[in-house]
Amino acid sequence: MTAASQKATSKTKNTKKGFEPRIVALCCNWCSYAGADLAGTSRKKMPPNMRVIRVNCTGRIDPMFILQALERGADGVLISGCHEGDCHYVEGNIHSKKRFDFFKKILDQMGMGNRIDFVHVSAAEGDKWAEITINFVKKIKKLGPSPISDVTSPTALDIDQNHSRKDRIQELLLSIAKRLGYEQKIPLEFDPDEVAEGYGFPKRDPEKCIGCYACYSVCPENAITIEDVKNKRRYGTLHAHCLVCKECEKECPQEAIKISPGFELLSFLYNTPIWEFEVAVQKCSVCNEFFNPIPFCDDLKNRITDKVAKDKLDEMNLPYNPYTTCPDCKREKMAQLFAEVAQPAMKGGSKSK
Amino acid sequence: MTRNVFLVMNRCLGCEECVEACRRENSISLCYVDSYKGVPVPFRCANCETALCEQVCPTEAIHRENGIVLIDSEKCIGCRSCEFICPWGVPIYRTDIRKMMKCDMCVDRQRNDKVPACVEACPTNALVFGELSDFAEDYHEKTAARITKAGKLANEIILPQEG
Repeated sequence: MTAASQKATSKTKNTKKGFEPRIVALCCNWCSYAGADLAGTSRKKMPPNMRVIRVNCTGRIDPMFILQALERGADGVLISGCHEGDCHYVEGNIHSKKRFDFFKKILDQMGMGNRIDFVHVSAAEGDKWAEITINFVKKIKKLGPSPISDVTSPTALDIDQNHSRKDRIQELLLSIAKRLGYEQKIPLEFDPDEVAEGYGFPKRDPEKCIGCYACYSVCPENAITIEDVKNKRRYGTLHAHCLVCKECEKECPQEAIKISPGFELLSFLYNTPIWEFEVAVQKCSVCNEFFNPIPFCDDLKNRITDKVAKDKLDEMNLPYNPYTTCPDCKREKMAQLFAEVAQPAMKGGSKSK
Repeated sequence: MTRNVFLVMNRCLGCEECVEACRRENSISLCYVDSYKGVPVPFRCANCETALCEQVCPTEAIHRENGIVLIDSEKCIGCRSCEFICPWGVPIYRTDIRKMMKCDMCVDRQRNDKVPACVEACPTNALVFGELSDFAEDYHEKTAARITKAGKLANEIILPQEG
């Protein structure tokens, strides 16, 4: 992969006249690579613009590979896998196709979407491979050279503790956008109905969500963000981090979360959450600080009065209102109560104050 | 009657040795010492008879074992309900594991016939561990009356002793 794309960049670019595109083809070992081989052995005439790279399965192809090739100046990227149902690894090509459709939308937005393609070629289809190659090269020739003219200083791709795979994909995307002079659209304009099956994000029912931390706590990828702004608590999702594991939907004590279609995966909003829902926050009756969402307090009240008789709660003789006092004030009140037990003289003092 | 950590109010110096001991034991301090107008008030889980945290927990992660209120960290979803309802603010939200944690009266130490770490560390015996009846000999009527007046929660944790 790297060697081929570097080779592609090492040559100087052709002018539009007599333009010979350099295309990276990623072929699966079991079908398309054999198909391409067959096309070769049966002496089909094909344009020499394809650099075929063999991968074990198209499921192995990371969006990173495509971005890397484009960043380093490839004029087109062709991915070729088995027909659906023929995958050597059962469903690798289906996963890859799904991911590709999804990923292509982002490149479509940037104006690079027509330079990549996904095809299905089996081991027996040498003719089809030749035809696809001819058509694809024709298409790229018509499109002209890649708009990425500056191929110097490509993005580093090593993945370590500080840089995850997702970080690198984001860096690549930003780098390509910069080279293209593409202005980032936030959020990207997609039709959520088009989204491939299995993608989505947690959506809250504004009437059911009480504003607790359960979804935030159970999320394995830290995709849910909660922020307190003045008298509101905001809920947002980092779409690029959401795995759609549905853990939040399962664990929400109020059953307020539903995974809804829609996504911003791999978009430019990598570390910026999309704010989705707001809930009003209760003011502390003692210090007037905002501390907890109003529906949360109401819910706590309901849950307690459901189980405990009211007189039992009165028996506890709490020196504060348990639902409208912030934890700090509660502690202070309890401390006062205890201090007065130890030093009865203090009681008079606090009263006179 | 279950064994609990009791508090003898006027012995406490506010030295926070118990907090340090708790940090050594649990790697995070689960109790604290507040002060009200100069009077130090050490707080830890009181294992209330009608535990509010037990009532509000949506997943029933908070349960009782031999009278000790414990959090089942596998069931805990970190909604922080118990943190907001607890009168003492004892359950602590741990941001690293995103779960609640609370004083468990050092159950592991109790299994090895040791007293909880805070009780062991207390230099003035302001914290004592045992059943309420163990301390009946030092019963002080006036303090007891004050505690009863102060309400049920105080009744469960302060020991009527030494005025």
